[in-house]
Amino acid sequence: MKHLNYPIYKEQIYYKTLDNGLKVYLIPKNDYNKTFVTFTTNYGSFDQSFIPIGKTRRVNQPAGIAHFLEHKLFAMPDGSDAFERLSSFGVRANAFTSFDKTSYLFSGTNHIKEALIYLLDFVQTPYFTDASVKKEQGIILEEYLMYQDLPEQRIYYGLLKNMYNNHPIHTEILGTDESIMKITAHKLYQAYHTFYHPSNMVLTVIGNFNKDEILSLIDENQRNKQYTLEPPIKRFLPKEPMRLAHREETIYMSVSMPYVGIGVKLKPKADLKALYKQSLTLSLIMDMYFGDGGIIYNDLLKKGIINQSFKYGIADYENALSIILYGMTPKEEDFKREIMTRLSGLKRRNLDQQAFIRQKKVMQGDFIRSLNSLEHYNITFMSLLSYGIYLFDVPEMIQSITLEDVYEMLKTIKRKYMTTFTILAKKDK
Amino acid sequence: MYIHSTKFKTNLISLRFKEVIDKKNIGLRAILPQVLSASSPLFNSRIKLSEALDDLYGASLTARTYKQGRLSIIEFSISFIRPAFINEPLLEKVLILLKDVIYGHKKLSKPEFDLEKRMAIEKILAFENDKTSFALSRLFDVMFTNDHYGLRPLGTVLDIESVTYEALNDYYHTFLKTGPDILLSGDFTTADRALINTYFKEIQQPLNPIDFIDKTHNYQIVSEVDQINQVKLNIGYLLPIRYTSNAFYKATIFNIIFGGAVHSRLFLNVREKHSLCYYISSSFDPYKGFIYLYAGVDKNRLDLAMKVIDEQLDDLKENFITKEELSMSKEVYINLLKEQEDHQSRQMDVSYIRNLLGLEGIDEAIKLINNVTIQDVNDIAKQVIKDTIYLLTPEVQS
Repeated sequence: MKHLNYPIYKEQIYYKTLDNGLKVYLIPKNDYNKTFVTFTTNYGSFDQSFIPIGKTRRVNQPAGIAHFLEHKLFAMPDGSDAFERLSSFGVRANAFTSFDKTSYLFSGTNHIKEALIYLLDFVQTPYFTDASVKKEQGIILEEYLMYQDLPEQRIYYGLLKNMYNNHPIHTEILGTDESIMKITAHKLYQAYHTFYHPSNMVLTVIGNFNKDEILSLIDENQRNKQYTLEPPIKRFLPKEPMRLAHREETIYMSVSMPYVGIGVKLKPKADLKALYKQSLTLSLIMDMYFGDGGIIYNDLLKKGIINQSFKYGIADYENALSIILYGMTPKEEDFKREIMTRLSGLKRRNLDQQAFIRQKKVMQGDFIRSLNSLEHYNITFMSLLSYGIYLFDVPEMIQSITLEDVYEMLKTIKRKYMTTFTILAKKDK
Repeated sequence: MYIHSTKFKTNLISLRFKEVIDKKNIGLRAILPQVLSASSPLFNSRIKLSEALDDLYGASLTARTYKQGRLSIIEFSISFIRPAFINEPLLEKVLILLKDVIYGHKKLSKPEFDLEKRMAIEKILAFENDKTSFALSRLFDVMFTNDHYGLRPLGTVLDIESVTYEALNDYYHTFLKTGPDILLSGDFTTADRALINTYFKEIQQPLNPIDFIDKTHNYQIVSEVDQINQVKLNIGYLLPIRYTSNAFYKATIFNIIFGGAVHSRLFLNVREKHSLCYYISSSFDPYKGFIYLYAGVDKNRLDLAMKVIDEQLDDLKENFITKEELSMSKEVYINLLKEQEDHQSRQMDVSYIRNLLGLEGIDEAIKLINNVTIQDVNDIAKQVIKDTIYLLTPEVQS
């Protein structure tokens, strides 16, 4: 077992890659009551085009299949439900699918070993039939409809759809009502055997446990399963041009006030570590101008253009980098004009050195604070691994951002790469 | 109250001001903490206050008004990185800032008042866009029409609109007499605590959050229409048991089995077996003594969903639950109590409630949970009465 030590933060991380390729990370935090475990495959809604394990020809799968697979994996061959069984240990189980990951997780204060072994076993026991797939389609369509009623969800995906022509980020993680219906048991097996191989997966355990005991338990469990080492998976992401797919879109929903979102498409670096630094630089810029103490934020607040519903974030994924801003506003045209003009005008502003230094201090504080939550700690840690970054490299990456990096980034924020998505209230009949 | 702990990277100081919720003060109490925490005499603009917090390694200041049972509570809290991780003592600067925000105002800022009033209204409008929470709050409106219990802590648009600048200035001084209770969590030395005491003085206000007046049973179905895709089904049930009652843990276990967990009857039958919804859940309110259920249901299968829900409750009344259901529910509940201790502000909230109610600590609570029997759960089920149904339904397409 190897060991990473971070005395400044009083944190220790142990890790080992097992013979079958599974990467195990153990983070003991014995002053907490709970343990939080994630078992994650590097497989998400993006991964629709790939060469299946043991095959030579590329396949294209329907959008939403990773999320569908996540749901179906809980069905066990004996008719039992893994979610129910996992919960029966008294732990809180869950799972999520993102653009690039699918994660099965639980947190608990008792029966951790039993729950952990069961987690490994059920995720490594696929069982799909056409009848059960058909039934699941009903549940997922309801989930899809539920999200269709959430304005912020519509804005977020709407902006991505407007920005991207070919990149699979333009489709919701759930897929579409049409693509969900194209999923079959055969396609699920094809995806499963390719992406749920241990060498494409990470197991991260954080909290109150004995690291040696847990590791030997995991090791023994994995040894008893017949996995052969596989070469890396070949996946295909389509080429994405810089131009927008759509400049703007307006939809009508039952909202009490208009919602407006703005998406800014940016050029992502190919190297994932460099991409993450781009993302940190963008966060710093956005916090400086659009955060609570930001000049632009406060000005727009005073003008009555935004309110506390205003949010922004950075979407950074392989081949896709963008800023997303949205909020409710009584003045939707002002919102669009002001924010787009000010964003593209940032490059002409003189950077306030002091604000830049202060912002780095905040990012450092936020980093330390974020370690309070074992859930956040675990998920951020394992997410950064696929960028080739250890979580505790982040403070240094923040410190390494220079004013030049900021200027370089600002130059790429251009009006022609901005799209809008608007939700207006439906007129009463 | 001081919860000593070194497991979190942050220290947390929280001051709370409470009163029995009162219709005439709701608007005032919704806006006041927001105006106070927008800027203060020493940090006399939003930007300056925000920069001061940023200089403290992004200390996080929270000002909110929330409801705990029949109480309206205004909280100011500040969380900041412990000196162990940054080699810079922040405590005194934090105290100066917090004191100025709460006590420093001679007169409230008029521009901040105007801004916060507008934002309070827009916040209420925004809330209405989340149809799930909105429909649930409508259930409380119709279920507790003539009862304080239906009041929303952040008020209605009318409550906010009626607040004037003058009235808020007057209320500010009244408000200061309603507290504070002082709550600390983290790693403070004796000297730290003495320093805190020079800044703030605790004023004890022994108020009980429990509302002991039972709602009279009145079966009703209220249905409203909205432009949505899915029916939001909400049901209120009477269960006249309170937090401090002997039956509290029994009622909580009952609710976990009915709809409070993923192994619950509702989740397994309505969602998993019949695929009638994506979410369904029930909660027990131990301050007023009722259970509320909320679900998102396919509009063509609403009748079936309601029928299955009724069947599940009837079954719990007529038959005994299994041993497994009982032990699983106890595990879930105990786990929840222990996990709360791993979240700094949640741990503080829970300890605060237990303090207000004069309740036993977590170890004693676990003992009481383990004593709950199958018969107890059945006894509770028999006391549950379906009271109010509120439906938010999609418009019929013409």
